[in-house]
Amino acid sequence: MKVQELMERVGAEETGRVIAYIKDGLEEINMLTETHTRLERFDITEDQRFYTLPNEMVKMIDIRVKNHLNSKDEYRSIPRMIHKPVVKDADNT
Amino acid sequence: MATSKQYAWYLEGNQVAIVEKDVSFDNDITSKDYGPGASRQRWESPQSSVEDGLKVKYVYSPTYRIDESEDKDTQLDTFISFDGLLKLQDAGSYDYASEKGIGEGSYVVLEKAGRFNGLHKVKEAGVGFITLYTKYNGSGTVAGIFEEVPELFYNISVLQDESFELDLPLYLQKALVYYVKAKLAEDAGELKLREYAMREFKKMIEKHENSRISGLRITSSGSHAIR
Repeated sequence: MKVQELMERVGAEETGRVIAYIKDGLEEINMLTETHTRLERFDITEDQRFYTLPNEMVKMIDIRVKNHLNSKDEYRSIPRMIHKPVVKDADNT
Repeated sequence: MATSKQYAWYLEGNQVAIVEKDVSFDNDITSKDYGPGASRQRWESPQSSVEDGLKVKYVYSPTYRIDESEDKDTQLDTFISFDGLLKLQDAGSYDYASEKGIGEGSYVVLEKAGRFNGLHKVKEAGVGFITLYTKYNGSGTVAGIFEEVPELFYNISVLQDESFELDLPLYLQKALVYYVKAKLAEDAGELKLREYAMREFKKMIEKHENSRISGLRITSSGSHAIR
């Protein structure tokens, strides 16, 4: 379906406003169900705790780390901590 | 052979924090207190560097379509702040304007570019650089290096006019119609119509979800269970 057809279905003529709402709708749909996913790799650096997430990310699905509870270079999902650890990051980077 | 480790994560702002369990075993056979156990067991920042050690899978919003996946460039290697905007650079002397037709107002999509993944609007392109309208407040002198070779797609369609073909499953396209109807009704102050359209929208999303999973759904704690 093209934007033109969607505008006809809702009976709207203001393209800019409809496109803004379509963008909102696409985000809302992807919050509720997953239509487009992407996998991004990061290098883990010694003593670096924080890694910036992609700006385009709507929802995070999974975080996997190499050699987590295995020694076969497998990537496995890691658990989320409910409390922040007692030991703080040295330079908070 | 690689050694087994134990990791966990938590969120802090737009960053994910990765911590590793640091365990020091206390089984020195020369000690009079010899016995199995650990003298220290705590979560700390990663104990060692691991190339491509972290994979993040996420959902993004399809506000663009890559028309030709072959139309991509893989020569960019660094980025820098230029008047508060993101400037991509390559070490060579490739002319992005004449060779790729990238110019002011055109759009590009970055992949494998970490935090810069996604759609960007171009301000200027030339020999060895592309300046984007994307805000970036990093260093203006020391260039940042991409961890991986970023892929820059330049043959794309963007949701910016009526000719854009929505990149959604057919059933969800109909749900999107209800969403837009709901928002327009909200603007017009027709709250009953807004509630009706939004209810239909959510119902269609649920039906779409259920159409792919047959049988019972069982709730259980998964790999992301809170510890």
